[in-house]
Amino acid sequence: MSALRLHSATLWGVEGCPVSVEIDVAPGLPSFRIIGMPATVVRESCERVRAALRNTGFPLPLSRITVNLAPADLPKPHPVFDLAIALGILGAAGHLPPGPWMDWLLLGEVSLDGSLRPPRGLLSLAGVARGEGRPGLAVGAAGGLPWEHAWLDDVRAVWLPDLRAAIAWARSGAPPGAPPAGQPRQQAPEPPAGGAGSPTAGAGARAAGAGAAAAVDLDQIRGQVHAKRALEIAAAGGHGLLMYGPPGTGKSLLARSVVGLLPPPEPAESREIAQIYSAAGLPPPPPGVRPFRDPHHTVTRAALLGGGAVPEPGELSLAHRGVLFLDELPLFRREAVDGLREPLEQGVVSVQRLGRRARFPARFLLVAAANPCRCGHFGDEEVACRCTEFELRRYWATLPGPILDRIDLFVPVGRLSFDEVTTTASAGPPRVPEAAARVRAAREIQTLRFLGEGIQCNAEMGRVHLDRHALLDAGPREVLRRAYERYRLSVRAHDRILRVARTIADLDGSLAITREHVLEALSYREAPLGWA
Amino acid sequence: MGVETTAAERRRRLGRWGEAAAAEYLRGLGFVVLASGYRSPRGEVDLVCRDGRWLVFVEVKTRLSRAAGAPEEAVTPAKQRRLAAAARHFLQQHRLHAVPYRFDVVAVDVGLVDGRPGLPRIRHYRSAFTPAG
Repeated sequence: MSALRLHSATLWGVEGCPVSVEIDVAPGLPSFRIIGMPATVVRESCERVRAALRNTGFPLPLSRITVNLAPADLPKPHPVFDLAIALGILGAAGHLPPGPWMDWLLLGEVSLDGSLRPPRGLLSLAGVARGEGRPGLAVGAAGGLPWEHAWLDDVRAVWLPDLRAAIAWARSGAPPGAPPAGQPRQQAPEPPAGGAGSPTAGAGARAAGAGAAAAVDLDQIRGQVHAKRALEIAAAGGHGLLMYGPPGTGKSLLARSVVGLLPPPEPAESREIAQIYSAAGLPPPPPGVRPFRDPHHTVTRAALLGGGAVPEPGELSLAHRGVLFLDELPLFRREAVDGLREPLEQGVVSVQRLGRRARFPARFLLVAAANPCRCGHFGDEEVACRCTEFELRRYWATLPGPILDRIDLFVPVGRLSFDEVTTTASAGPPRVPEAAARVRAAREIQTLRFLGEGIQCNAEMGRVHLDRHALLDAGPREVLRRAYERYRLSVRAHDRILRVARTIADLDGSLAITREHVLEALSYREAPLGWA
Repeated sequence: MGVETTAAERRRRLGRWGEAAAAEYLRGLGFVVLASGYRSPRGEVDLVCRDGRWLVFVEVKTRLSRAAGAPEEAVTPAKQRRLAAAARHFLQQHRLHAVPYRFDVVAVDVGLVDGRPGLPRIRHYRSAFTPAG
């Protein structure tokens, strides 16, 4: 009978925080208390552990059992401490000899029958083991290995289906366990550049996004050449894009295809994505594919940005390093859209909960779509618009300026002509592999360009960067001057055109921005009625 | 034997038997039993004793088997609160405003021999809990 100190960790946002689990088994009236700011689910650990130990053949000692979770001021919202508590009681009661198992990071929720579940956010918690120099993770694994096992890399892990296995493991001196057979972690598919022979190359990169519905091949969409080109530019420079046009013209379909234009995530990016999905308790996007998220316009602020009583990643973070598609942008709640400002500027969402800040990475490509007005037919040549002028103004007025500032490309999407509709979509050579290759090359140029400048793509260029990287020669400068004066562009619109022109030049493999580049950039300037 | 008894009657009888066993045990330790089965409007105290300068309120729990868990496990926080309320009533009734007091629990496991109580196993928890609030 004594006190014991074991190690576990808890998830806060997408971060893992070390928690030490102190167990004291003292003589006295039998009781079982957990202190140290446990959430209700953690406090209920008493009942789970009591039943699990009894069903494993170790009834709770008739003693006063006190469990302290330190640091006490750190909120502990998830049930991950059961394994540590159960083993700690057995250790303190003399059923388990002290040994190396006491240094491991113990993670798992116990069921009444003694089986152990893996915790949420395993990848974040594994970071704690790495940071604290623990010998490894002992993780609940009833029902098979969690998908995160492929991402643990240098962190060793033993997978324990139930308490019985955990006790056997601890008694046998905590062997590190065999590494998972092979290294099942899939590598990102190679770039399609040289590998025309490899069937997975191009296809893998542009197959399904995070959701099954995301699997759209740009080449399968008829017409809309202008919009497709705009998507290529958006993908290349990270520019926010808004498509507007009457319903049924393929805006959503186009948006879904943009994932196929983006290069597969870098290993470091894949790791970030996996960590976020792990913390959200969701399966990750398929390997080599960037996430695609398309929340419905009724989404709440917390679900979009991240948050809730226990901070969880929102749609913005689930779209991290991928694409966030907001269909019917003007219909989103104002409070939700307002919240996009910080992530669009800084690439993170931070929320304050229970006196503690949680930060969620949220660096994504914003693709939005909107009908031109509430009825959807403003500017439509075939169907008359039924909106009043007041309704027209109101429709667009919901979009706050800071969000529109982050949209560089405005793309009208019109009705298809009869010829376009009747042409087989896949007629002609596929263009996606080439477009994807151009995007990849343009991205590489940007990576080199912005080394040490603190930004990653053209869309993030501010005044300073524009002066350095988007200087115009006399010819293109004249083109921009004329447009500036004729259309009475704002300074903002001017900068926006420079950013887009820079990306178009990059897609062209051109160091200089030419007249043609500026002219094309000007074609994405057109804004729908209401905010001009 | 042969006398028909209800379950409740049997339970009461077991309780009284346990209390007697506990009282005998405590007397052996030098406790003076002041009252047994003390009732207040808000709860009961099985035994009220004096242990040196201490006034001791004792909860006795008796079990025939472990089917429902150990006897001492039945002293739940709710039971503790009732006990504390009864103790306060006792202290007021007897104008005991400055006496140090505590709560003990005595667990009695009855070993049955041929259906009759054998030698009880007794566990005594001194100052088993401090009532909250």
